[in-house]
Amino acid sequence: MSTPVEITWLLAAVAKGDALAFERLYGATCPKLYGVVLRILRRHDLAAGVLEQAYLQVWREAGDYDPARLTPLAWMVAIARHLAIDAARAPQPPATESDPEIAEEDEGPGNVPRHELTDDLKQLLTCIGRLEPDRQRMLLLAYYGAFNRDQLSARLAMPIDLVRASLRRSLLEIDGCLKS
Amino acid sequence: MSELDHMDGLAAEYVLGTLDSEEREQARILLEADAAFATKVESWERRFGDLYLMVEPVEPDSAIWPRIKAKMLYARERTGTVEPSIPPPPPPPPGAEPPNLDAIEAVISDAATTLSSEATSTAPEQAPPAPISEVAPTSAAEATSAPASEATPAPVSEVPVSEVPASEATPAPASEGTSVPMTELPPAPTLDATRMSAVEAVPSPPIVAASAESAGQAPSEPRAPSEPQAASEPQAPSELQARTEPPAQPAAPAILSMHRRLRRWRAFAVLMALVVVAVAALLAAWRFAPDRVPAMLQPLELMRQAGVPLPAIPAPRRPAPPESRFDE
Repeated sequence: MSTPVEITWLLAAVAKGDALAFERLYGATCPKLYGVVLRILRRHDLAAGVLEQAYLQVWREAGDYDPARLTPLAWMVAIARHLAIDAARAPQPPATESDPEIAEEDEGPGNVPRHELTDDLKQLLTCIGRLEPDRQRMLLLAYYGAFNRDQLSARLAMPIDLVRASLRRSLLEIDGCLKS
Repeated sequence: MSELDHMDGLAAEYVLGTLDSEEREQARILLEADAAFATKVESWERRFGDLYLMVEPVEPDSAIWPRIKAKMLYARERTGTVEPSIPPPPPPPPGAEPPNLDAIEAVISDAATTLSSEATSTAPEQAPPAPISEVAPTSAAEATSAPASEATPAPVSEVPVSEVPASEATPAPASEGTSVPMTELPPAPTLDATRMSAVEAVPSPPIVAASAESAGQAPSEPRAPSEPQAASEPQAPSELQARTEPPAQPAAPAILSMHRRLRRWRAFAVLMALVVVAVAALLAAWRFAPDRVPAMLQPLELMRQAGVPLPAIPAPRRPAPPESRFDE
């Protein structure tokens, strides 16, 4: 895994049209992006298509990346995530034998090696940890699975209005917690 | 405050991923139109930005990269039609390229942008001056042939000694290149209609270029001037040649490398234009203000340094005999 600094360099080279740097950038980052996308789409065929789109967008827009705003990988993940969410919302061809839907796994976050935990992430996790357990779970489910409120309501067996209200409340609390 | 306001909530949920497609569409329109909303989205992106760290990486199918590679050129080209050739480059990654040449060329190209357009005007499709990012010394000879020889009749071969880094001082005489006027060259084996023709036609006076690149492999200059058409094909750099056969996919790196070569070529066109100007200035100085020319730039001194055999200095003219009728 490359460091953010290395990825920033690679991105800068990609912005200048360096195809070789782009290949290295892909090699260094694609498992992470694919993991994020696959978690949302839960199908390899769809996830592959989105991953492809995501990297093409990175290739086109590398010049727009602003290191002051996001870490390079977070920027790339944001691109991939939004594409994946759009794909998840669009009508999809049904899963086939060859491209089955991946069985639901634990919806919570995976484990992160301690040294990879950034200060920002620690702070965010602390704030999420202060939410009520139900809302904690809902928020993580929302982020990692990118379920819309309908889906969340079905999954959590909760009326949709309550889902919406809970989400907003959670976001507000996180907002307050991070600002403090 | 017990509620996120509507915009804040929309921004946060857009980032979180809980909006349905219409709401996402709405959010995207706002994102374009409303800077305040965009700021909110950005701040939420930052807050949730590192949550991805907790997702287990999954190795994707190895067939994905070739597909991206095949499409990436096209992806850039579409934006490329709007911008000159490459999006505004961010600060270059340290150590990625030799910085010295870059700096030098930046100065040079600044100083001579006007000249460059003049000197390179023979290129069929002149792209606007783009950031010159790298220059390989190998293409030195490439440039010496074209713009210099056409711009002025000045004795170019003599000049590079003073202005150009030593590696380029090869006395690649301009006259050699001039025998093949660029305009007569066929567009060469084109891969891609628009860009390639421009790119190809430029370095394809590679009568000189090719031989310089394949340093010593096949110095084929003798036959070049006589048969420019035949020469341009077999002499095209081998990388390019290889790419002409299998079409779509491998063409991408070929074109990229052509772009790079075009940039190099342009850099040297600029450089040579400077050289030409310097020579012109020197000639003008010799002609109009010989007494102001420093001693080391005096014609005789230069010729001596260049190893030109000097004719025996004629004896100073004796004053005409008093009875001469031709006295001035």
